[in-house]
Amino acid sequence: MPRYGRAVTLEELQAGAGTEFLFHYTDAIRADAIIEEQCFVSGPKAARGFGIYATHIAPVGEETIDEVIVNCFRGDATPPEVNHAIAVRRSSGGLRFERTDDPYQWLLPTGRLELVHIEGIYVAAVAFSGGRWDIIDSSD
Amino acid sequence: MATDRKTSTVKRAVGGRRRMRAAQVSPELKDRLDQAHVLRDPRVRALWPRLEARQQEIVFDPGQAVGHRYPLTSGEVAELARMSERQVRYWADRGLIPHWRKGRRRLFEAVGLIAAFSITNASQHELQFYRGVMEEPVEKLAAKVGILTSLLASRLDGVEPNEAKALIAPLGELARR
Repeated sequence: MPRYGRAVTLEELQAGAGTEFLFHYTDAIRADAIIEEQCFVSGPKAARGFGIYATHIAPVGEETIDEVIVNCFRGDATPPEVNHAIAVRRSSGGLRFERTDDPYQWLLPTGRLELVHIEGIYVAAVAFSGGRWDIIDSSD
Repeated sequence: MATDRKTSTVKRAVGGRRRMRAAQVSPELKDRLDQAHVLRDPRVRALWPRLEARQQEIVFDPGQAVGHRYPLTSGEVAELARMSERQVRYWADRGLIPHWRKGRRRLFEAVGLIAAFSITNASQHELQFYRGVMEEPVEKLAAKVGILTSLLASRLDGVEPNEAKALIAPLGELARR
């Protein structure tokens, strides 16, 4: 696994999508919370098991938002709910995302509403604004 | 974005598995996360497609206009939505613009800005209707809601399932409350 001695770039995240990196799409508030607290809170519902969900769909352009809404949320979301992406490593230490039976969804299994500290798997946070995705925070 | 992880407000509970522990967040973060929950409310989701493209861009990135990310102050929402600050406070205090409070300050997230833009886009007639709903005594309001519900039911005949869902979902959310 490459270790970056500098902050990762958007192009590297895109190139490593699905192989090295996965993306957890969320809204501005939850992205801020993840950045500041360095943890995820797993959801109360469990379509494919309790845990943290991520996808290999990389933040590329405006169409990414629609792609995520359709493939990861079955159309049940609006763009402001998914205009941030938390880039994570597929695995690090004891944490490992597993494939689910949904080709677009990967799961880091946890308990219900569990707080998951993400030192090691957190790579960067990306936000869509001004018609493009930009890295707003990264581990270095 | 500048973040100060040393001042983390998450309390790390003792005794859980390494890296996986019960969630216990600060009251301020809880208030903000509650706003994220409201963003997923069908009533708010129904507003998003009706915003102008320019308004949607500002919701995505208020920083271009105000110089920072969410939350926004009443004054910033007023400026962005082209309302007076007094109007923002009026609708916020009546529950139409979601917000949270830090001390005496009202603070607004994306969901609040979406609601503020929707009020800006509403006609004077619509705003008068909303004011009437807020000020009407409950017994009179019940009669109006009854009529409105009947009208909505009649509108369901012949509409596409997705449109019907969009019409009914906010009522379901209201009933749950």
